[in-house]
Amino acid sequence: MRTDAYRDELLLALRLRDVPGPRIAEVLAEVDSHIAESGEDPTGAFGPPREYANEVVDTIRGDERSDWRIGAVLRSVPIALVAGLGGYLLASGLWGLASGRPVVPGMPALIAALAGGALFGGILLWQMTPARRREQRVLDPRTGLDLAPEVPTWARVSVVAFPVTLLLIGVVLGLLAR
Amino acid sequence: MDVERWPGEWMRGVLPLCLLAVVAENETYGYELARRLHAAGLGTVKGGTLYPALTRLEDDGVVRSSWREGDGGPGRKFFSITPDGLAFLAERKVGWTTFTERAGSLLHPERASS
Repeated sequence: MRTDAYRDELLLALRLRDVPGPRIAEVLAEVDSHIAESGEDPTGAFGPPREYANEVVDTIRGDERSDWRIGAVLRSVPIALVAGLGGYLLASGLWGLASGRPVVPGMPALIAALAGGALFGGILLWQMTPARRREQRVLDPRTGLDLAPEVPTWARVSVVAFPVTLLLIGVVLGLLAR
Repeated sequence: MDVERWPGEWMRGVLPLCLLAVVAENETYGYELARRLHAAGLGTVKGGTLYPALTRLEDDGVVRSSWREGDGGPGRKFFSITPDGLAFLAERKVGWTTFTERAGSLLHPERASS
């Protein structure tokens, strides 16, 4: 496997295992510099990316390490539930406001929309705090270069524009239902 | 048995100490460490074994690492021994000698002095 392909797979595997950004950067730089010296094939020298990533997790001290599978699930399921609930309330509330019809039992449409917006927006903000982004950064210890550059602006805009568009469609449908 | 390919469980036991001993002589970098071990007849230590072992040594505080500019190429990660590392190595060297002598006496009882 070519070195850059190996590095990309290793980066992904380490991210999936919640290895902290600085440690990922060290590991990638080690692989890079070792392969540059020895001229070996990365998989031959370090093993398949996923296996080496598991090995890296093993070297992290017990008290720092969390079982990455459990951690990933424990974190993502509640987040998804809350974001989903928030999305439902927001979409229903907006449709209710637009159509003038009741939607969420026991809750006026405006309250539903505000509550949904707060939940959903809260999750988004929490997941995207600067501190969280900083600890995820993977900076090459040799050059300071970012090995995992930021998501491009067009991608970030699309991710936001897509649900917003759906919500707007919901509002239009609600207005049409008056 | 091909003496250039030692059993994995033996290497796992002795590798950290051997790495520490080489680093104690001179601070050096990963690839050079592997080369030294190979030259000593311990076979090939692959990157996938070498760096995790060095990382554990660093996490235990017995070595420290720093990236240095390579000549014309990407930087090299140099490892040097810490004071704790020197003490640890001294203690383990004594222990290792005793350990291997005792194991040797079981393996070669005819050689053991009575």
